[in-house]
This record gives sequence, structure tokens and C-alpha cells, in this order.
Amino acid sequence: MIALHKILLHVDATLESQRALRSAIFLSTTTGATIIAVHVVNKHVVAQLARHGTQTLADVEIEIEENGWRYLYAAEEEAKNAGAHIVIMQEQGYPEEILPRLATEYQAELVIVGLAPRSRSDATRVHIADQLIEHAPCAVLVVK
Amino acid sequence: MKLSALLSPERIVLDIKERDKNVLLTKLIKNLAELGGVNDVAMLEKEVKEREDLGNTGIGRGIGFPHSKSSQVSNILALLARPAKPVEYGSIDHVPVSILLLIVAPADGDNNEYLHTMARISRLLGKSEVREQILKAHSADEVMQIITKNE
Repeated sequence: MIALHKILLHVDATLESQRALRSAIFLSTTTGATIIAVHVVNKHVVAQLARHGTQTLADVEIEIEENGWRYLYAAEEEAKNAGAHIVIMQEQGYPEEILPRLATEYQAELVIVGLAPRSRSDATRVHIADQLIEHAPCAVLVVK
Repeated sequence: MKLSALLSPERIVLDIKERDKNVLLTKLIKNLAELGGVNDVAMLEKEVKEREDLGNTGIGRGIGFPHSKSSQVSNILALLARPAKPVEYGSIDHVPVSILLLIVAPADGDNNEYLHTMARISRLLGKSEVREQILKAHSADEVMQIITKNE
């Protein structure tokens, strides 16, 4: 049995991320572990949206960052209302690099990510899960 | 809602001497209550601190963002404080806090507006140039101008 003290949770806009949050809340309230919820301003996504949309790179980045805080505060509220321990943070870069680094830095015993069923449009997120499983220093829970 | 709409020079307190996080939070809540709009200050303090116990509100880069929904207020209220010296806050990045923003919102208020406001403020205070200007400001009026200009 793994002793849980810190759970790293990847937060984004998806339904699967909300399910992942609920799993994290359950584990936190059961074990007393602290959820470290992180949203990453994903540079792949920023570049993609700026290339195909009408907004500048900087504007896209600002919008994603602000939305990220909104998801994080919503997650924090849900967790605290359930009596779970949670801290929130936002990073910029590539989730597949940042999540394993944070898991190591904060000595998380578990990383939880939400993942939609594999499809072409979810290619980036599948990549994140693959990279996490390979590089995370701890157990990874993928919530569908 | 913009931070500049929630603040005014009297809601900006510079060079606070308190160094202990718990004492500092008590002082901020008391200062906020003195400006009006709080029903029961002791209850508000209990609520803010209970939320803080469930998760540190240091969001990194020297920013402390204590916040809570409360039945003790009818409108979103804010108070910005700059301690005289950075305070150990227990933030996830271990950086002592040099700017604190206390936000309390009505328990039955518009949750979307609350989340949107929190997100805007976090993004604003996340900008290093804004933080540096606030840290160098000589007066509450100057801090107010910095916030208004950068929103």
C-alpha cells in the first residue's frame, strides 16, 4: 500500500479533468493527502490557436492563463467544500515536461490526469499521458 | 470584475509590520471589516482561516491570496496589503510573501463572477512588472494607479 501525502493533479477544461479532480478529492479526504492542482499554459496549444485563429500569440496566452486560474479556483472550491486539502499553481510550458518535474520537485506519490478516449483531436493529451507514465517518478492514475 | 473596481486607496495598506502569517491575516480581516460591509468579523476570520487550513493560498512568486466565500458579506470585498518585510506564508514555491490580497465574496453570490474575478486578479499579480511596481510604490494612491494602468 502506498502512503499518500501529496497528489499532483493536472487541471484543464475537460470533463475528464473534472473526473480526475473527483478522484483526487476522494483520495485526499480518505488519506489526508494534499492535492497540488496545476494548470499548464500549454505552449503547443497556444501556438496552435494563434496559428489558426485571429488572436496574437500574447492574447491567446493571456486568455489561456486567465481560464487556467478559473479552472484552478473552481477545483479549489470543490475540493475545500468537500474537506480536501488543496493548493493551486499555474505553470507555462509543456505539460509532458512540467508534470514529471513537479512530481519530482514536490515528491508527489501519485499523479492524476484526465484523459478522453483516444482520438485524433486528443493526440496532444494522449502524448501527455504517455510521457507521464514513462517519466513520472511515481504512480500515475489516468482517469477516463 | 476588475481589481481596480474592488480597491480604493483606503483598501491598500502599505508596510504592515506583522511578520506572523496568522497575526497578519487577523489584521487584514480587521482592517477590511473596519471599512464596512462585514456583519460578524469574528465569524469571517474563522471562515477565512478554516479555508486557509485546507490549503495554503500562496499562489507563488511572493503573492498571498487569502480568499473565502462568506455569509458575513453581501458584496465582494477586497484589501491589498504590502508587508514591510516579506512574510513566511508557506507557499508552494517557498517564496516569502510580499503582496497580500484578501478577497471575500458573498456565499450565495454569482460563482462565475467570483471565479472570473479571482482569475483576472491572479493573472494581473502574476505579472512580474506589476509586482515590482507595487513593491516600489510610495503610497496607496500610487499602487491604485499601477493596478488601474495594468488591468
